[in-house]
Amino acid sequence: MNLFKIPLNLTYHESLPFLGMNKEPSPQEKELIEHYLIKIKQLTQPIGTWKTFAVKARESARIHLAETPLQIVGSSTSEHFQSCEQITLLAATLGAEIDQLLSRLSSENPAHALIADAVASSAIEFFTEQFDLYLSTQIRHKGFFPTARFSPGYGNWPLNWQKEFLSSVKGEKIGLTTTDYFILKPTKSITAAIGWSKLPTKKTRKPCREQQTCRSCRLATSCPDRFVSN
Amino acid sequence: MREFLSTLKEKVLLADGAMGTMLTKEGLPAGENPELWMLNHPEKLKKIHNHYLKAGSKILLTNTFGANRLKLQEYQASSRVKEINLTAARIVKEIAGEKTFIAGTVGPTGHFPAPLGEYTWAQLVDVFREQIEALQEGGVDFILLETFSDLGEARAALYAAKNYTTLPVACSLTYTQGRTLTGTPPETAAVVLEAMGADIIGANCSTGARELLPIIEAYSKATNLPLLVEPNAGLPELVEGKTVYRETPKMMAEAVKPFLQLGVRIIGACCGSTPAHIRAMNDELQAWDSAKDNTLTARSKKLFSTRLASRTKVVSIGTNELPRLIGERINPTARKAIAEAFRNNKWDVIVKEGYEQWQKGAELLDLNVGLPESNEGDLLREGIRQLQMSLDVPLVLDCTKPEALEKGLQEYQGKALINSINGEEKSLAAILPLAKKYGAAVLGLTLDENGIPTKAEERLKIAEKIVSRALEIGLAKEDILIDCLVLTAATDPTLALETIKAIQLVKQHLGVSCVLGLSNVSHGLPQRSWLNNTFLALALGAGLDAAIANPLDPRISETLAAGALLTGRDAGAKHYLQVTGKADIFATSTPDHTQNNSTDQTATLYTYILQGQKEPLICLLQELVSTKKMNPLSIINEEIIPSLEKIGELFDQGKIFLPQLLLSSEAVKAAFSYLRRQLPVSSLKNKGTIILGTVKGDIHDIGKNIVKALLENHGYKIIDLGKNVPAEAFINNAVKEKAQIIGLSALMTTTMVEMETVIKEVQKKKLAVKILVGGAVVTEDYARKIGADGYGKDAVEAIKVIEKLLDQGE
Repeated sequence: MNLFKIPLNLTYHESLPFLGMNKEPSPQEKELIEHYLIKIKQLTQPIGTWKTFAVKARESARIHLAETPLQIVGSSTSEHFQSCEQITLLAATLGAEIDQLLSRLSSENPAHALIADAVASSAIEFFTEQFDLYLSTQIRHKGFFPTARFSPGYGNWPLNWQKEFLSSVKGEKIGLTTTDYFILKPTKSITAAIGWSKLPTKKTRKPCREQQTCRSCRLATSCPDRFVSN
Repeated sequence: MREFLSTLKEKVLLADGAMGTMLTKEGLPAGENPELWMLNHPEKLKKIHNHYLKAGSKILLTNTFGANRLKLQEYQASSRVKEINLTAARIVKEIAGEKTFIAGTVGPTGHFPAPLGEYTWAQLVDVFREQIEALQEGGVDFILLETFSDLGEARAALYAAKNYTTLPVACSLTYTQGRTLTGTPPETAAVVLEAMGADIIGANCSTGARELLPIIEAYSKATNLPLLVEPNAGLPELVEGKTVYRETPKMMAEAVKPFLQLGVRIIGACCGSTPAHIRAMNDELQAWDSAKDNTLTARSKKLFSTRLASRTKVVSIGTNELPRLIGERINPTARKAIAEAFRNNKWDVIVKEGYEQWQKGAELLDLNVGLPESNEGDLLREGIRQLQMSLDVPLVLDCTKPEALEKGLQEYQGKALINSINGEEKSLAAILPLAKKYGAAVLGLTLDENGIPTKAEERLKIAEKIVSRALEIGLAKEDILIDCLVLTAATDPTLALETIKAIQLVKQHLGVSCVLGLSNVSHGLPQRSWLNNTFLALALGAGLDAAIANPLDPRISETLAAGALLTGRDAGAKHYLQVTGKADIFATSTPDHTQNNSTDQTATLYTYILQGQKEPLICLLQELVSTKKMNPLSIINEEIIPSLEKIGELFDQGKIFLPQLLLSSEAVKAAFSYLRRQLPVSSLKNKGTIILGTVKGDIHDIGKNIVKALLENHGYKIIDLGKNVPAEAFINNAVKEKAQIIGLSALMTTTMVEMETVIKEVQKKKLAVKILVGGAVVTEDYARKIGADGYGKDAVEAIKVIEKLLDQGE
């Protein structure tokens, strides 16, 4: 089983977009953000796991992988992985302790809950970014071009595939499960797929672009690839 | 063989360009191992090396980036390490000729040292040793460790190269957004790698030259070592069916001069580059005349203070630095709780202790594992593992047993301070070599076989001996620190001043940094803090650079800050003002609200609310109500409500953000709860009753709680049903509470469909209640489609919509 562990190195700057803030916080806000950043760093040992699958068959809006029932579904999704021979599935989580912290705060103090939640979101996003970087480097060294990562729920790949996704990477080994409504538990977790492309890919372009509603994205105010439409 | 390092002093050497890119051009299939492919295609390799040689490369790199046991294992070839490395070296040698140097390339294994990865540091050293010994046997001129993304792994490779070969070693890391993958900034890498014995420090890969320039600049400020840089030719793109890299040879050539001006002595290129890039860079290099470039003459040798580092941060100690605080509390001898934690492997207790000291101002942490009948080496290793992954504070390894210390030094990924050595032969002979080998600084105690001398002059003599022995073994002077030792004033109060005198003598005659284990001075006496702080002040006056003390005594930080200012170490009193809380430009002045000016009063009240300052707000209200006899209801209506509206507008305009909105709403909530207590119950009007909840299946309630907090402040009665609420609970409560409005929240596409279920139920039951929906994925269109009465894109808008809905209802 492949495990990825690195310490959380993010600073409060990385949390600001998740709070919808595009400028320096007030001293009071900054203190709270840093407080929860430290708290989360203390509480969590983020962990990731991954597994690489060969592309078995390809239909117009569906990619079948070898040795797993998981399918990558949706026209935009299969386009994203068009020139890929293999696909690495990754799952990462901050762990259950964070959920306990968030649920306690949520009943005690909404301002603190909001900030802690955003800091935790930025932490798992940051961790996944590092994880992606690590996997992408390995993919490049094998002579392929890694695609941007793409998650169930992006574009038209329904969240309903979350269960098959998790069983493909043995998510339970890192404590990751999904609810009946396909919400990941612990909540601060991410699943995503990175393709091994034979051709260069636009790694910088957000995979969600023009496909997911940007309105619903926590990063909408700061994302350079924001797609504005209402 | 000409001496590689001495040549480097005379001139800048051009390395070669990408290997992988060229191998692909020569037919290496994607997914195949480049090193194994080489064994069957030596002529292709020679062709590539020859291209680079002709383009002007003065250093050629062996094709051995992945030629270590762990990487080759993925191709079932872990037994072929030696064969591959020897062959690769031989192939380059056949091309290189007399005037070209050969770099033995060593890449990462893909595994970080434990606890992040599954291999220990010692296992990784062994993996690198195998490859590096083969490269030396193959006749390379130096070892080039490149593209390392973890300082711990780089340190293992560097250790193997320095200890198992006699070759010079260049160590190059790769950075993204100014840090390695595991979080090390370039300054820290430079300090740690230099201490470990790297001969050249560098950076390679990344996205291109532009990204590497600030990295090299940071290096050049942090080290006097020659620097190496090998940028990528940008990122790959697909143009007309072909893979091209964004940076042209001309663009790469333009990057050459800025790098040279920063002190780069080896320049090459990484992924995506070709002989054409190298040729263009060579032209630029030949045209550059270092003698005429006056930016370079400014680059004289830099002098550094004592620098210690964690894996992510450097802390400097010395006369030109602020005096530092080393936290002493992780010590099982002095503290039962710590002994207990070590005995039972309760590492969270140790980490918490570290955090606490750091929060109270400790800039370094002393780690003492001296627990009787325990394996100190194992404890030290585990303690370091835990602390260095959680905190970025450099560690002081408080241990005098060489075997235990060695385990700790292997584990520590930064530059540690060894606490301690002393003037005894045994101590010097055993520990100084460890410091050199593992890149640590040492703290020397002024005692020897005969104990602690009484007289300051004799302590100086021991210090002199320690310093000269440490210099002999090759430690830099700034990496030697002295503790002049203080005895408890309980036995002989006159001895304290001998210590002060010793500090003066050591600073004056030896010029090394002085550290002091402070707390001993008060041992066995009452009011230890008085003695500790007074003695600290005296020692600072004598030139002390750092104190090992208890950060939980708040006076220590105060004495250090005041001492720093009064001994001229705190230019412009910057640090002092910061510590005293006066330097904060955001700091809010507390206006005098005793004056009778009502405009001022309104402004102050508004400021307190805006900034969410609960306590001052309540104080002000108390004053208005009790002293000035103002009517609480008119304070609410004329002062607080308008402030709330103004803040809502600021939020709408994007001038303040959600956290501030909520913090101010918290303050208002406290204000209301105070003011309501001053009012008769009947005078408060309930504007309406609202049922709130997150729909079935959804476990996100942050957004819903924000709406709740704001609505409460606007005078609504809120029945909060929490999260994962089934439709019937919404209905039943709405009926029971005679609610006017139900507010539904959902964050996920998979759960927002439950909103429709609730609405259908309400319609079926023909309830008079209105329904408002909101949440991340919910849109106005969707709200209309499922038949909701209102939609709020955020909490502030939700309030407006609710007011409108209630107006319609009336």
